[in-house]
Amino acid sequence: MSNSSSSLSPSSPPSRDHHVSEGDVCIVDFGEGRQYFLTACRSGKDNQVKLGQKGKVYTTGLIGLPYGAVIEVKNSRMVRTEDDLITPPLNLEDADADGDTPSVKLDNRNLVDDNKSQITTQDDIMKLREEGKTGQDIVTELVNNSKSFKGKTEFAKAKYIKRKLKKYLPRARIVRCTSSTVCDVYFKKDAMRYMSLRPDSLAQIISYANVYAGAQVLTFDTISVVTASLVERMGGYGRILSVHSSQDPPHKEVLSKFNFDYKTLDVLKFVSAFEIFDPKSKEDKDKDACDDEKQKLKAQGWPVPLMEHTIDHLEKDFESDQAKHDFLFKRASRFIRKLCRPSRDETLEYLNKKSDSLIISTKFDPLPILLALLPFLAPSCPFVVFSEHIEPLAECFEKLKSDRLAIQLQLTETWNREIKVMQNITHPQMTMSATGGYILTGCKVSDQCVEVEKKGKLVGKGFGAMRARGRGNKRKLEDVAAGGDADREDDDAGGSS
Amino acid sequence: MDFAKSMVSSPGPSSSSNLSLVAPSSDEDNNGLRALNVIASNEALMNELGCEAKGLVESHIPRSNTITPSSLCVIFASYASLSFVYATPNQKYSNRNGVFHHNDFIGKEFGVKVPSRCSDGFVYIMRPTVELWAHSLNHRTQICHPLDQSVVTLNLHLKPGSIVLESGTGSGAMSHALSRAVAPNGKVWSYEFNKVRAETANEEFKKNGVDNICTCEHRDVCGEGFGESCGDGGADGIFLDLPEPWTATEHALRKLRPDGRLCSYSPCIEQTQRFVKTLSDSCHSVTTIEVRLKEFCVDTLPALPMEISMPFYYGTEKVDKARKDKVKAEEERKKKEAEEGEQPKRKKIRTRPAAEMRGHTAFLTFATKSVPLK
Repeated sequence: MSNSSSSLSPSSPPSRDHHVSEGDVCIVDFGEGRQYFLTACRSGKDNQVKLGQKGKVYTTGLIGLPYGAVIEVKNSRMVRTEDDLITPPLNLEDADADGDTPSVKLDNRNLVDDNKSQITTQDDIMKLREEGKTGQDIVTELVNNSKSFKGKTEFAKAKYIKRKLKKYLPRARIVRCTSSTVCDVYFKKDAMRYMSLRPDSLAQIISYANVYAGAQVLTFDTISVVTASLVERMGGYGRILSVHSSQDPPHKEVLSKFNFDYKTLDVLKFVSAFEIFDPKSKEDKDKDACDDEKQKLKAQGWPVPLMEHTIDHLEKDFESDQAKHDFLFKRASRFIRKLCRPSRDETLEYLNKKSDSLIISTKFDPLPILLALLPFLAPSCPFVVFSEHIEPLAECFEKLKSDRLAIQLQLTETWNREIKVMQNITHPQMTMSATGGYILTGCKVSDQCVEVEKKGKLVGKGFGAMRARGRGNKRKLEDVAAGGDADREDDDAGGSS
Repeated sequence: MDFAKSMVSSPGPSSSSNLSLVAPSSDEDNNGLRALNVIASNEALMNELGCEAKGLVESHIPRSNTITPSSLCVIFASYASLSFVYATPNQKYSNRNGVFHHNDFIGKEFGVKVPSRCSDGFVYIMRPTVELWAHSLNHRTQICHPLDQSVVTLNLHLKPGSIVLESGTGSGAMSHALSRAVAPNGKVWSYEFNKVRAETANEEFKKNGVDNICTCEHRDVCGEGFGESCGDGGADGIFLDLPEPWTATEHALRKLRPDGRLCSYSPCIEQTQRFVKTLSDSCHSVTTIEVRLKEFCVDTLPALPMEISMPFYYGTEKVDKARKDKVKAEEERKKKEAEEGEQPKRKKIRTRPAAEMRGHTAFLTFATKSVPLK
């Protein structure tokens, strides 16, 4: 196979959309949960990565390949395979000598599980490798030397070959980073760290919260994948107000996986919880106002003059003009970002405009956060609270229901089973994920009250009047309306007699 | 629905700060500063950063806050009992909660509670969302439920600007979900082989204000293919909800771009099996999943009244001491609470699974179209 740069033919420049560009992060999927985030680049610290037994591998080869292509590691380089198949076909010498219909029924009746059916030894394999045989050759050798192979059914044969190929000829597929694929990688790698957020839960969070391009979404998120997915779904329109309790704006690591351009990422506005909700912060601000130096720094516009030490750094530490240029470009973008950051007053203005949806997905106790942020949600708008535990959500549910803050409350968990579909032997996967986290959803209601002229014979004072009339005396009407009530079958909100 | 409305652009926060991205030319003999200025005036670089020279422009969709005549209102009567009306002056809506006059809520904000004029019943008037719509719409066919909708939307890797093909339209629940994901500059082409359903769906899209994103066409894609919607290889995602999806595979794969995503929604495993067989060569990463929603109810359980102390079975000294200590502590706590005038908390919040759940909707099969070889 030729070296990787040949795939970058100058006549047809790879379109940015469907090919890996330089600097892009992509997922390299070796199957069975072995997925890696790799940055396609020609130089720098991300150029080399350690991939299991393969040792150090250069990522340069990824540049210009289409997403979905299959790669192989050869001599520490990633190269696209010729057939684009994860499991390439083998040239088995005497396979299926007895044709399509085997004369004897194949099953395990003659199987002797004494670990002696394979006559190839580890040394033989080492020798083959030294001779420079490909993985395909080794697997063919293994198959030919296996006594039990011929006695296997077609499915078992395919399974055997697949397993051996995975070991001797590891191939991987280049997968684009999207919210579903990134979430999947994190969930398979370390579900606990990402609060058991399974892709289907993420899908529900985004949908139930009614996130769309152009909306204003208020979030308190510590999983980061949620925020990044919102950014993707907003596509550069609207606003995400991300409330955080950390010192610095969070989510940096996960956001970097999505290859967002500046405009797309610009919808994300960080709101420091301390700045907005802590009354002390106002005092600090007044204090800052007296601090001349801080004011001076704040007032600095564009362009910012270079400091002495920066000029020194520029002159001494850079070898090429390109590196200098990159440094200055990064510096410029940092300043632009800083200058574009909304001030406290602007943030408050956004908040007071009220948001179209509210998403809380945090390791902290959600109830106080929910109660603090709910006033900034517009009436009749949906909210979603995600947690890996059910108890905090039950508390939120109870509070919202008893205070009549929301309707259509729903506390759910999702059950997700993968099914192996094959002709004649379709079956569910033997293991499945047991939880993807719990989700509480609902719609905030308005506190506006409509007064109407009552025409009926019985003019009730308030809606509680119903209770005096027998039918509703078991529970308050609004309790039923809030949903999730004890008996849903008998579920008529303000049912009149 | 709000997501399909036109954007309003306004200058971003940068305009209010003293940011002028085009730096004045500098005569200073300062290499660094000059280099910085070069960057600032370099249009390509600025585009890379996404800023226009005048400052950033923000686009958003203003929320419709008040109920106006002809706006779609979802009427919430009780949990999972939703319906919809288009607000019309002097009209009435009645359900088992009573009779409700549109005039009572026109001009009010969404989310408002409206009492009936003739009874003590009430309803809430909600702004439509895709999920509320799915709960309230008239089922012309079996609909794709919000859980399946969301999983499909995410797994088709949709984002604003994507082009999606869908067949069949059915009741249009899925069309709305897809439209929301690809708005404002994407497009949903929906196909329905039943003429009446196709017409009704188009009317509904228009009434709900999503017709600029979603168009329904009367066509049998199994026989005739996906028509002129988008060029071959132009679709980012395709969703098939057909009785015989395998007959549409070839047409679908022609329209799908390389590395585009295909999804089939089939209630029966035989359908799925047959469909998967047709994918084998041209697709990879074929997975079939089923998802179900497990609902929980939240109850508040009363605790045992404090006055009754449970009989104690253990007589050992150690346990007895522990018990005495506990009783003492309890008494002190009560005393303290009585002083502070607080009622002791008696209720405990507990959850239990809802008695019934939807056991099955459909098998969802996802696949990615292979990229052509070099």
